[in-house]
Amino acid sequence: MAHFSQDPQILHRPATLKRVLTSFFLAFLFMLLPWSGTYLLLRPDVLLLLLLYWSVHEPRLLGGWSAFTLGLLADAADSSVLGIHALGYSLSYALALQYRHRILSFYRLDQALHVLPLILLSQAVTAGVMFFLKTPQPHWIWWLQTPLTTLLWTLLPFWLDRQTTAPADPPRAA
Amino acid sequence: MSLRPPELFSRGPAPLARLFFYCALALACIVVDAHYHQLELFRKALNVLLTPFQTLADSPGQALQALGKAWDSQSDLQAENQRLRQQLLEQAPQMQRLQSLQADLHNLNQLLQIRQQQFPAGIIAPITGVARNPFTQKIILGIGANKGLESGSPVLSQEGLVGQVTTVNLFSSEVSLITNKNVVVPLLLARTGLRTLAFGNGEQGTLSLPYVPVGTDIRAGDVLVTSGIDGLYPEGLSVATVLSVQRDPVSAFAQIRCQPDSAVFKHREVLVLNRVQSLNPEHADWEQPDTASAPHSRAVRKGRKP
Repeated sequence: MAHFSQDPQILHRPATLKRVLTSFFLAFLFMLLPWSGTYLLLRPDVLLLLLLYWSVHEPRLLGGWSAFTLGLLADAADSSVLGIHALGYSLSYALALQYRHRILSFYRLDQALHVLPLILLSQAVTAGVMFFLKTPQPHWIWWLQTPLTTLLWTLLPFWLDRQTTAPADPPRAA
Repeated sequence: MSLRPPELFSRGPAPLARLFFYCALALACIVVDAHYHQLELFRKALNVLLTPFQTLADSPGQALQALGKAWDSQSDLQAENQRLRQQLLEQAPQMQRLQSLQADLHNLNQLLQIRQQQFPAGIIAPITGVARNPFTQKIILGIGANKGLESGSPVLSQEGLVGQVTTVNLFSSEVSLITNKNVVVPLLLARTGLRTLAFGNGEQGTLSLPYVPVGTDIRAGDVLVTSGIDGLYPEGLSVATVLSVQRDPVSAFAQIRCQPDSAVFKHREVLVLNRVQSLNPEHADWEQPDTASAPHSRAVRKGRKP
C-alpha cells in the first residue's frame, strides 16, 4: 500500500506479516526485561507504540482482536488484573484506526502530537481502573511513560520505515 | 442525496460495534479477575505461553550475573567465608539457648495440655525479579508448581517475614509482599503481648497498624512478630519494627507506622514454608486442644510424616 507519510516522493512497500510479528516479538522481549524501581516506572510502552504504528500504516494486517490479545498478554506478563491493558489498547487502537489518514498526512513530529493523546488514554485507563479497584497510585513520574513513548514514535519508526521503503527501480533494458 | 459511496464489499461489523465488543470483553475480564478471582487458570495458561519469552529476556541478565560470579576473586570469597563463619559462631549460643527453651516450652505446653504448633518445613527459592507492575508490591520466584509450591505459603528472608505466595504458575510463582495493599498479617507486640493486625500501605518499606486504640502502650522501636492465630503464618516470625506512633485525640486509634524487617531486595533467595494449617473451617481445631489427635491429623493433611 502506498502512502506519503514522510516524503511524498518515496513509495512504501507493504510490510509483510513476518516483519510485523518480528517487531512485536522484539517489543515483547523489551517489555519482559527485568525492570524494577524507577526504570519500571519509566518503561516506555513499546507494545502499544508498535500497535499504533502498524494500525496506522498497515490497518489490514491487524484487527481489533490483535489489540485485545496483546493487551491480555501484557497483563499476564506484568501480573496485573487481566483486561486492563486489553481495554486501553482496544480504545487506543480504535481511535488510531479512525484517525489514520489524518495522522499519515503529517510529518513525524506532528504525528507524535496526535499519538500522544492515544498513549495517554491507554495509561489513563490503567490508572482509572486501578483507582476504582482502590489501589494506591504509583509515583507521579509513572506518567512520564506517555511522553517517553511518544518520543519513541519520532525515533523508532525510522528503522521500520526504512525496511518498508522501496528501493529505486533499476533502469530497465529496452 | 447521500454523498456516501455504496458499500460494495461486506466488511463485517462496524468499527464502533467492534470497539464496544472488545471493551465489554475487557471490562468483563477485569471484573471477573479482580472481584471474583475466576481467571487464575487462564492466567496460568498465558504465563506458560510467556515462559519461553521470559527465559529469553532473562538470559542477558543471568549471563552478566554468571560472569560477575566468575570474576569474584579468591580473596573476596575467603573474606565472605570468614565473615559467615564468624556469624555462625556468634549465633551458636543463641541457638543452644533456643534448644533448651524449646524443650522447656514443650514441657510447659504438655503440662497445660496446649497443642504445640510444629514449625513447618520449607524450600529455598531463587528470586528472579520484581513484578513489572508499579501498582503492586510483588516479587517473582523461579520455582512454581513444578517444585510443589502452594498458594498461601508464607515466605521468609533471613531478617523476617517477606510475604505470601499468591499465584503459583508452572515454573514460577508470585509473592505478595507484606507491604502490598491486599496483605494483612496478624501480629503480636513482643514487649507487651498485644495482638493486632498490620496492613500494607501499597508502598515500599512501610506498614501501618490501623486498629490500635490511642491508650495502648506502644512506642517507636517496639518489635512486632507474627501471632500465629490465623493458621497461615507460624508464630514468632519477625515482621516489623515500629517507626512512629502519633496519638491524635480526635481519633480513637493511634496512627502507627512500621518498617518491615525483611530486606527482601538485598537477597537472591528466600525460604518458602509449607502451609501451617488448612484454612478450611472444619479443620480449624483451635477450640478443642486435643493433644493426642491434632498433630497427627495435621501431618496427614500435609502429607508429611508426623
